Amino acid sequence: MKKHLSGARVILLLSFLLAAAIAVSFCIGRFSVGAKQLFYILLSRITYIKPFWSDTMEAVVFNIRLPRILLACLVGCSLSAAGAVYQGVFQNPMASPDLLGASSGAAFGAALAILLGASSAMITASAFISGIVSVVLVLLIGQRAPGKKVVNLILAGIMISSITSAGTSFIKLVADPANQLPAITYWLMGSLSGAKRSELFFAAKPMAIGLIILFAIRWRINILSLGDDEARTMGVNVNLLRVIAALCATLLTAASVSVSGMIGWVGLVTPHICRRLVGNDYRHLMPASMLGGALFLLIVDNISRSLLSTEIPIGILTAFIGAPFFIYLILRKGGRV
Amino acid sequence: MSLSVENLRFAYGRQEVLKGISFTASEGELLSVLGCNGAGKSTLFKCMLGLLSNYSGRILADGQDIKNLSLRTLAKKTAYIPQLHYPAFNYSVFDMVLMGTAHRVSPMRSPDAEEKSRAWCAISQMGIEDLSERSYNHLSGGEQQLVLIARALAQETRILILDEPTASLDFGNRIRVLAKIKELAGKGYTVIQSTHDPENAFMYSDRVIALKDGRLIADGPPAEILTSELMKELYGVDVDVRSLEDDKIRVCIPINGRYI
Repeated sequence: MKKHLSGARVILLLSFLLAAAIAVSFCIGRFSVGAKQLFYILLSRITYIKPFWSDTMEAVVFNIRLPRILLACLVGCSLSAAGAVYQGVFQNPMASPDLLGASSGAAFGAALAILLGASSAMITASAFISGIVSVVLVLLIGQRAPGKKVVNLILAGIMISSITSAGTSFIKLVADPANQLPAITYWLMGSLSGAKRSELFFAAKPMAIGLIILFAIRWRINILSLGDDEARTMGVNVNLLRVIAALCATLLTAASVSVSGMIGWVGLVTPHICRRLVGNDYRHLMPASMLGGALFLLIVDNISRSLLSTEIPIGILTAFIGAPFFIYLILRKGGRV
Repeated sequence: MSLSVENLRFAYGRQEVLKGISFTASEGELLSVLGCNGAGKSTLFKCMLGLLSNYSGRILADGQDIKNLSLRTLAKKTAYIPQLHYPAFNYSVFDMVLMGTAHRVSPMRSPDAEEKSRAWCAISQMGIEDLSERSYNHLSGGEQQLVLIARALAQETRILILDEPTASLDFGNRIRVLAKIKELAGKGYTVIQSTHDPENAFMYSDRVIALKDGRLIADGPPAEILTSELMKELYGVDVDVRSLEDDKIRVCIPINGRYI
């Protein structure tokens, strides 16, 4: 057996890396902020320090970079945790946060809101609600259908996803090509560029609920991943646990997609990297995935806003970085994914 | 702790799979269930484990109707040792055994020192301490089976239900695993196992029941069950059942075999 590093150590290391990445991210960007200024600007919120920096610099740090950094971390953390949970709950290493249709449902809600000319807050709300409704539909169908629950849920997820995707395509077809269509397309590509405090506050609540509950029940997901019959004979209420886990993961996914658009790959790749680092036990895998997801998306977001003169939508970059990395994982010796 | 099945009937839709089955496994007894593929063994096991509930008749674990027990309470009475399979994700042997303590751990918690020591206890009871750090999926079939039994012991039930525990094992591991199972019955566990090997059933079981087309066609000590007539009726093949060593061993020799 490949010895895994001690889980606690990896988690500690990831925490340090994340803290360092957050600090560095404040300084990256068109408007340069020095490390010293950053330190005192942040400190000035706690104690009084006579400003030796410009007001613009303070505005950049607090109004632009801070919300964006926090949002990147929260979205990365949420998508990665959701992916890890879906993989365990559906006993399927290929599961990702869009398995039950949360992302495509949210995309449909956003596209519809853009078509109707809604405000940006309404677009976010519409995406969130539509993502939740899609998954609830999938769960209802899966509970009613006879036979294997896991298979039914996955099939129902594929069906609902395809219906909502078709809906999104139809909206794109009828949308005004001058302004609505580009808005929808850009939204679908996924981006954190519009990060504002209001969106941060909107997404943070459902994310906190989902993350806390999933963190608490993480050990049980191990048992769920053995399969329904075994888990039930060990006294685990499989159906209830799966619905709770799926709903929490959906809160995370829908909230993420509603504020950042479709950002693929984070939810699939990060949990797998973390599996390599700490093993499959969710007691360590869950916190590692949460921290790893936040770190991964924060780094990618920094690249997306600083690589070219125009910002590259982050969804494109996660695929460009995530997919080759995944291929590397598969090809590596002993590469059982 | 005993397990009784009373007039158990079960149907998948219109197809009746179990047609009124009754038997009791008493404490300290190793009971083997024989029957060809499709005889209803798996369905019977699923009913006993509380995985299927729309049956008629009664199943009593320790005198209590299992229909009235929650999954969690039932998990304190009966443990299931499934057929070997590869879980989607690989866990260490210790983590695997630790999962047996799930019914002690409330849903929002992870196991603590108490559960861990119980898992250790189960591991040492099976004599697999040296495997505890290794990953389950990379073990041999025999070792995996021992781990699954350890997990059932960590569940701390008195009734063990094993679904073809030796089906995919090589000759040596089959004997090692059967010896362990026999040992557990000797310690007072009530053990029910299904098997496709009548010779092993004869050697290791205290009692054998034979299932055909959803009915019990025999129930008794192995010496009464392992006859050429019953083998013919159960499996539809002609075998010559020979007795060796003062009937401590019986061998089934196929009549169409090479030397007969």
